[in-house]
Amino acid sequence: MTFKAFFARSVALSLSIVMLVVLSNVFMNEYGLFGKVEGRSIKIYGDERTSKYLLSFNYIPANFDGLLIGSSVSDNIDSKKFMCCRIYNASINGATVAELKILVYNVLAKRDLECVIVSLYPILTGSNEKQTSRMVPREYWGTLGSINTLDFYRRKILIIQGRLHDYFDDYGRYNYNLRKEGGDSKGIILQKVAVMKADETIAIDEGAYIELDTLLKTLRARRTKIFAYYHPIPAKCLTPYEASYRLYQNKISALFDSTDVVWDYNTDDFLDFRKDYTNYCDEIHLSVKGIDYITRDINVRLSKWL
Amino acid sequence: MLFHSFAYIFVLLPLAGAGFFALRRWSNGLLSRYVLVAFSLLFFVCGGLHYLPHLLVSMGINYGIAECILRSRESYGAGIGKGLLTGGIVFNVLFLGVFKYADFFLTNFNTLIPAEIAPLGLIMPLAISFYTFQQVAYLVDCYQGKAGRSSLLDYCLFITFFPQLIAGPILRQREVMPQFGRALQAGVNYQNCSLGLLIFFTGLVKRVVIADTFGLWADAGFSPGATHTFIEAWVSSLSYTFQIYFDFSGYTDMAIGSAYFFNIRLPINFDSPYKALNIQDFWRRWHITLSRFLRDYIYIPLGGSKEGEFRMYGNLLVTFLIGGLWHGAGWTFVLWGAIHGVASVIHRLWRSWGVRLPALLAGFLTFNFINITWVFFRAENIRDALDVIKAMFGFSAFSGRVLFEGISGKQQNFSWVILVVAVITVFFIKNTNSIPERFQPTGWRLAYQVGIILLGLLFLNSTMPREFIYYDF
Repeated sequence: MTFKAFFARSVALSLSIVMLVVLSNVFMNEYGLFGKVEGRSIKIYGDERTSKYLLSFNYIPANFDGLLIGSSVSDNIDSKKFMCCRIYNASINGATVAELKILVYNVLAKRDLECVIVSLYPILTGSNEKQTSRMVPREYWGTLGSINTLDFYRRKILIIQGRLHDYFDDYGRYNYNLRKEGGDSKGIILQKVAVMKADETIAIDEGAYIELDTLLKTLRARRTKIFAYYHPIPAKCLTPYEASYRLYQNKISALFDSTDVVWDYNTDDFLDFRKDYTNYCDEIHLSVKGIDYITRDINVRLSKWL
Repeated sequence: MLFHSFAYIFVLLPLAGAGFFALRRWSNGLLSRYVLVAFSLLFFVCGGLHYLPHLLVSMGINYGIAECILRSRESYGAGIGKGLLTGGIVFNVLFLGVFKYADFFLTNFNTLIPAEIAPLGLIMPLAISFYTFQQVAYLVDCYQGKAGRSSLLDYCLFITFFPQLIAGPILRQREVMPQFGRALQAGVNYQNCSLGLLIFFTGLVKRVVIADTFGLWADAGFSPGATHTFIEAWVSSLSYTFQIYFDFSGYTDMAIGSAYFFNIRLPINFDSPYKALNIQDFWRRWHITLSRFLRDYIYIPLGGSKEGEFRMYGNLLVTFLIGGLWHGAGWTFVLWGAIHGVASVIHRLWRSWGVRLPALLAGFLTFNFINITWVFFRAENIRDALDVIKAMFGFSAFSGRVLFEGISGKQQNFSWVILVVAVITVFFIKNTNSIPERFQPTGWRLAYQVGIILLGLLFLNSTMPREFIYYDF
């Protein structure tokens, strides 16, 4: 082989394989990034953060009218049950506003939203950092062929074969109750209370606070109806730091105005719910029973307003 | 612009190569040179347009001084022009001093006096350390008659030729400029293109697959405020030792590979440095063009080894201190340079006693010395470095989980594979410098080359683009 042939074949072969991989991934379109995806049903098989970030470019705006944003405490809400409109559960395990706003802005870049439901829990505004380096535009092109893509296919195959749990649905719900359910929630809650300090405080990161404010203002400017609720904290867990929690609530509630609908599950009206350990699968996350109740309650409130 | 970016690989490099060779028949290659300078400047400004004035001013003044030195040499003979050379060196030292070291000196001055002089807050221009050293070398070479006159265009090409502009290798005019004429005459050389492709992508794989993997561990291990157990401290230091080698040698491979497309052979910069059997051997293998600069333009002018033993030791120390400071404006770098200087002195003394260690033991000691001293190089400050070193020798605890809990199980498993690859690459196989001599266009080689290209592109499309470690210097 001459060097000219060697060089030509190296380049041609490499480019051909690259093109083949790229075209295959465009054809598979696992995150609904390319072309028309209305009516498609796309589940999450890979990393939740990256997947929801990628889905927010095209799949979510094409198929949903609203978003539910929050951390893991709202991640297992079955938004398919909301009757008012199609709402995608864009909650992310351990999410901060810094991450969730990226998803919301991505969707807003494509369309207006009818509503956004914000699940309020301290972790959301506890930091203004992203928990991942993968929620970046570069990841968009990564879907054409990258380590993440390989990992995605590996996980998808394992899930299809039944060797991995299928936690996510096409509405973004992360059904972690599949592995968390049936635990000793009472024991976990009491254990948590035992290690809690009396003077426990809740920090609100100034940057995150401003981000949340900006996000809400942007949504209002786009005529998006904002719903927000304070996640129900087990009564035993709330008591030791209730004063601090109320301060947190006051500061966060100040961001909402009269056009928004905000409610709190940590009032006496919901004391029975919060006292019932069976509504929880651990010290904070809701069990199947608990999440069913909250989902129904949110649904009723949404129907009233939308 | 980064070598490990799609814009470079698929746009700038091919276009620059095509332009360079397509225009070679016009105006005796003049247009080709213009094209190459234009692409080099484009490559440079992609790192920040605001860095361009520094580069242009530095080149303009150095070219003017070099011309004066050469003219005075032509008119009045050798030895004339010392004042100009001194002026040129002073300018370059001041230039580097102001933009790179001013705040370091001011901060220390304020602490020492104590005074309250406000820091200048100047941003260090991209690649300033490299292009300044290269131009100092050129001025000295002009004075010594080792560099010939060149047009302003050729001088710009010499300094800005994009494969070496940002982080070396540090070139000498006589080793690269004559190649451009020959390169243009020869036209496209497919042997060089094939070699360039392989060397470039080998460097890319070193950088994005190996260095980045070790970088995860090193970043966690050297994060501010980290406390280390025995295992964590060793994992952190060894990770950085491998990271910096694969990062910088990967970069150099990409630079050398890129230059091959233009029929230009850049000098090698690494020669399996961790196989070194002593500290002197290490510096003959690590960042070779910098070592060469320090030897030829600092150590020898100081008197080298010709003015007595004690003077030689002093010269060694001064050279290494400057070398350390060149890497960064911080006491950690100064201390790192000083330790290497002292080690070099000890090595000379040891050698004079005529005692030889078995090769395996010598290699083991040298590698561990290098590994431990990299801690100073990487740590944010001397206290952090000492904490890591204390933990390395403290045998306090053997657990290694806390510091690295952010690294996922999958990444940890992959790191084991990379560790094996890295150890084999560093200690047991020939390095990339030997690729040209054993390169044959065979079917197996083709498969290997395509594999390396695909692996590089796959990881390039996967990881966050991190700047090369040597971008900071």
